Amino acid sequence: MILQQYKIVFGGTMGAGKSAAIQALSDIPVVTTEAVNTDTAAHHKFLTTVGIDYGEISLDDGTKIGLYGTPGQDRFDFMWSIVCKGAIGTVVLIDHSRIERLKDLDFYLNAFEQYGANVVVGITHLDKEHDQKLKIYRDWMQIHQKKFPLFAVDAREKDDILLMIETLIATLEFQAIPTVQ
Amino acid sequence: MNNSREIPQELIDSASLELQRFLNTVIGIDFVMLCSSDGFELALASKKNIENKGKIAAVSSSILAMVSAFISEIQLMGCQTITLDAENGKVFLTAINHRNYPMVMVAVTNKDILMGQMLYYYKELGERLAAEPLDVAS
Repeated sequence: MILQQYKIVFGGTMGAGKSAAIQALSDIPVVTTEAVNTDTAAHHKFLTTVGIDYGEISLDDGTKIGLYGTPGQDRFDFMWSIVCKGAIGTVVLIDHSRIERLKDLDFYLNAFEQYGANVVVGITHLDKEHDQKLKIYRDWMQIHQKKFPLFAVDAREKDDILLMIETLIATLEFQAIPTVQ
Repeated sequence: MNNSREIPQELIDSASLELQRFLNTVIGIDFVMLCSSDGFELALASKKNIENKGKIAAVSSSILAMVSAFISEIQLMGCQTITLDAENGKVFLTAINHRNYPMVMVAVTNKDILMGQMLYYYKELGERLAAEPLDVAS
C-alpha cells in the first residue's frame, strides 16, 4: 500500500503530554509554539502550546511522517479542524490524573473522530493514580460503543508513542487490503 | 497564594485607558485588544460590539506564536508587527514584550487607514504597554 498522506495529529487534554510525545519521537528538533500559561486553574504547568508543534519521524522504508501537536484547551478548537486536514490518523492523549478523565475522553473523541476514524487513545500519568487503570476506559468504550485501540503510555517514552503510531499505520494498511467476495 | 503569572489588575486597568486613548487618537480603528500570550482577552477598546472576543484573543496568540516559530526557522530575528490586508479592512498584530507578562495586541482598522499614522501610534502604544511600571498619560 502506498501512503498518500503523511500526517499524524496529537490531540487531548491540556498537560496530557502531546508536546512531550512529539519531542520523544521526533527525528528532528521540534518546532514549538508555546506561551506562558496564565490559566493555572486548568493546569499548573508553566508553558502551554498555543499554535502547533511539529516534528518528524522516518519509517523503516524511508517514508517521513509529520507529527502535529495541537493545543489542548478548547478555546483553540479552531486549530483542530485546520491541523487535522489530510491526517492519516490521530493520537488522543488523556491525563489519567484528572478527575474529569472520562469526560475528557468523551470530549476529545467527539472532537477528533469527526475529522477521521483512525484514532488511538493513550492514557498518561497512570503512575499518579493506581485505581482501576485502563478498565474504566475499556468499560466506557464498551458502553459508548467505541472501538479504538487503548494504551497506557508514558508520553516521554519513545517506544510507548511509537507503538501507537505503528497501530495507526497498521490500521490504515489493514483497511486498504481489498476484501475477497 | 499569589499567582505570579496572572497579570495584575492594575496593569489591565492602565492598559484599558491606553487602548481607549489610542482608539480616540487614530482615525479608522475599529477595535484594539490586549491579550495574554496564551490567548486570553485582557483589555478591549472598540467602536462596535465584538461578540467573539475570546476567539479573537485565542486566534491572535496562535498566529503570533506560529509566525515567531516561522521567523526562527528562516533565521530572521525579532518579528515586530504582522499586518494582514483584507478586502474590507486591515489587522495589525504585535507581541508586547513586557518583562514579566508577555502579551499580544491586535488592532482591526478600516481599509483606508493612514498606515504611517497607524504604525507610529501603534508602535508607541506597544512600547508603553511593555514598559514597567506602566505610567498612564495624564
